[in-house]
Amino acid sequence: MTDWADELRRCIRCGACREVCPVFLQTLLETDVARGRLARIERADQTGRFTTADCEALTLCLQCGKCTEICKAGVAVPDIVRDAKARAGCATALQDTALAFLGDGVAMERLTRRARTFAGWLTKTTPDGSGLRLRFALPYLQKSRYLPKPPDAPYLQNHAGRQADGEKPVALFLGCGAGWLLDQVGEAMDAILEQMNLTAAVPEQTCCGLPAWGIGDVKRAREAAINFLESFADYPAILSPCASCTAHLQQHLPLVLAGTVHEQAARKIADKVHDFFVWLHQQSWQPDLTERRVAVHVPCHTRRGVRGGDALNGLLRKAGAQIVALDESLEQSCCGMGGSFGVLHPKLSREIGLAKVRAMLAAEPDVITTSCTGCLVQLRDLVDLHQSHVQVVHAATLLNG
Amino acid sequence: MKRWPICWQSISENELKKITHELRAIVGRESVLDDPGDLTAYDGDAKVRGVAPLAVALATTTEQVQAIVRLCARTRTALIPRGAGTGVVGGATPEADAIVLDLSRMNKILSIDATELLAEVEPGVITGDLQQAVEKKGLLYPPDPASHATSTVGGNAATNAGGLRAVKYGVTSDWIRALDVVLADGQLIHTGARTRKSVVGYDLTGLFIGSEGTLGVITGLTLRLIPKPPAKATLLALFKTLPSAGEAVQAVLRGAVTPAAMELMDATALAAVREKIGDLIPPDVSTLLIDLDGTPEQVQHDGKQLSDLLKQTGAVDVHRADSDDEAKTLWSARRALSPALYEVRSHKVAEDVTVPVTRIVDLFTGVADIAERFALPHACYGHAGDGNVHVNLLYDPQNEDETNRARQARPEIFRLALDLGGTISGEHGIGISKREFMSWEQGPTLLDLQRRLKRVFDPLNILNPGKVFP
Repeated sequence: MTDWADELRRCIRCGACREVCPVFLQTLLETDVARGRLARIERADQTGRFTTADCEALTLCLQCGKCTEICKAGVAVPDIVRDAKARAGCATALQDTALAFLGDGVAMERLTRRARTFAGWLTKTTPDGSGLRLRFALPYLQKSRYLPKPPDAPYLQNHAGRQADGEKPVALFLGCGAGWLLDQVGEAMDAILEQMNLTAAVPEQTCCGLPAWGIGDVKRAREAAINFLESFADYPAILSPCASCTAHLQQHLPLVLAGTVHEQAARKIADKVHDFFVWLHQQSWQPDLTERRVAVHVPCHTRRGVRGGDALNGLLRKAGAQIVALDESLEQSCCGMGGSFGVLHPKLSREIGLAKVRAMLAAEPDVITTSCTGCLVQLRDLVDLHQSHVQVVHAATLLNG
Repeated sequence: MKRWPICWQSISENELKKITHELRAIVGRESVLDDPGDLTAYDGDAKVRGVAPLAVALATTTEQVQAIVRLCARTRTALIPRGAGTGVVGGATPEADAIVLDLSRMNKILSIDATELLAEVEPGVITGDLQQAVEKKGLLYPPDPASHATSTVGGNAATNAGGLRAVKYGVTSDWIRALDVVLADGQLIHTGARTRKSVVGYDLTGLFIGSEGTLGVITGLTLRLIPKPPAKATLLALFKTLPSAGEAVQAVLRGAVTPAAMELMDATALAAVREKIGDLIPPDVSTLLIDLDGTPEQVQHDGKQLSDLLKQTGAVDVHRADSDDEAKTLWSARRALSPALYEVRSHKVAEDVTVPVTRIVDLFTGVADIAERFALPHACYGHAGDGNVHVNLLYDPQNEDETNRARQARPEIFRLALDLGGTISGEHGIGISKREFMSWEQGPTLLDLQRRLKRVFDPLNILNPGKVFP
């Protein structure tokens, strides 16, 4: 593991992070902003232990990276926080179970089937039919929380094992959201690739490992990374529709596997992973969305993780879409999901994303889009809270027309 | 002089339990922090770290502040008001058992009056948020300390913060008409008046401004605004030598055009950002960066006049920007400076000494001498228009020898500023880290008078005790 102690000392506590941290801007507590978090970690290191309160506080980081961006010294706060979570052993029993599922394809298949059965009496369908709302509160899930509808046949269940065809042998890494829940995403990618006379391979796959990595469960993150290496090592280009997975595979994989025999391979494969939209932007393919008014949410992981950054806005412009303008600070703001953050802190998570969605809806778009399945679920939840009928669709679905 | 005895009374665990219980009753459960991990985030400001407070209370109303002050007075507990914690002299840093009163959540802009040109705000409003809000109404709140995106108006008032635009628009105190202040016994007073003129009684508004939380807790501010000048222009003038830049500063200030900002950077400082600024500025020059504002015609005219003047006084080149984008390019070197210094060394002695504008060049060369004597990398830059120069001596805290040298060099900067007829603090304040130097600048009678004033306002010495005075 990297030693973050030196990195920790580089924080001079200037407090510039107070301007941008989405969590802090809601709570206004010094303990919820980067310099406060780092002070907490420093203290725990000195006393030699993390308390339960420390663990709870550490989960209050979205890992969005805005603090690092504004930090004059460029302190890698998300990495330090994640490492602290690993050392503190912050993962709860529930998270542990969730991670076990995410790392196991067969279990995921069984789970989605169960979810379909239970969905009927736990939830009711949202007015637009795109998802479900909880009828009552469950552990970690608020009453009325939006959940995507488990599909009859998840994309991975249908397509895993498929071979590549066409002149470029590309492979799809779906990520859990698109792989097990939002089956339209993979189908839309297939349709777009078909227009280019390509059929992508869909190797057997599990979770990318980001949820485990984010919680500090290095063991599971490594298992996921090795799974990924084994399935995808032979493909020259790996496309992912999810900004979070892409950022993890591109940026973190070498860190996850640092010090193992796989480190070199991880570095190599990280270069072959592409954000689907960055990749698409480089192709000659021309989508057509003339006259559609689109509100775009660029995921934090796209801005500060994905190689090539945001290509979606460019693609949409190329397609002739009318992109609604938002206030600069709102334009750049986080949706509030942050993976397990949205589950552990549902109220705060919604408050963080609310202003942005409100502004999007005020601009009366035909459709709201984003390129991360986590963000997508959050945006749907917030749009639905406003009882709006504006559709929220994944960018792959939108571009497919 | 000895501190009086009640200061820093230590609080037993039992008492503390009662106090936090009462704090919760006042501000609500969620607004009191007492977990050690949470408290450690409040153990300092942006520079000086002390000890974690006993508890932190976040108030949202003046009544809550009054109740908290009363509780502290009754239990003889030290109370430290805190804004955004962006100060750099330890003004909000606890040194011993104390309660921190965080005012960040008192962040409402209560009114903006475009006719009276007034804004009424709570102390936790972020200065940058206020600036944006008034600009939407075509108005300007000029004070703009470097931390304006994070610092609070209340904190700016408590430290009388300055900023880039001080050469034309003055400092925070020039923009405060009236204050609501909770006194050390919990009573609320309203100082000043909303009117443009008022000479009733002593100027207590002025006394509270810059008092660093030692005399009362500011819970409301009435701020002066002006119509926003519609046009801006930026000039970047290059000089072969530092003294010629210094002479240009004086020539500009004598002239008819008052710039809205005038920043001086010497060749040493610019060397630190060489890689970032490309070929905008050639090596081995000193620069003056000047902002002008006013009506479009005025700015056009002033810009021309000023660039002629700069050329006459020895500028080898003058760039001029009329659009925001061009201005951004010209400002890029100045903005890149502060982050770039972190790459040279992770820490710095950064002082805000201020000298008469005629002595700025002497200050720059004097600091270069000090830096050389103590073998430390340095960079000077700052608000040349008002003589306020940011003196940075860079050091690596891991390097014990270098850290010691930086520590020893610091007093020499103060001595230099005073020898040049200046002051040891232009805008940061005294807090903890400069109090031992107070007596270098102010005589015993003056210091004693201020201590007696403090006793009148805060007989129990509960408000930010120990700060400012040696």
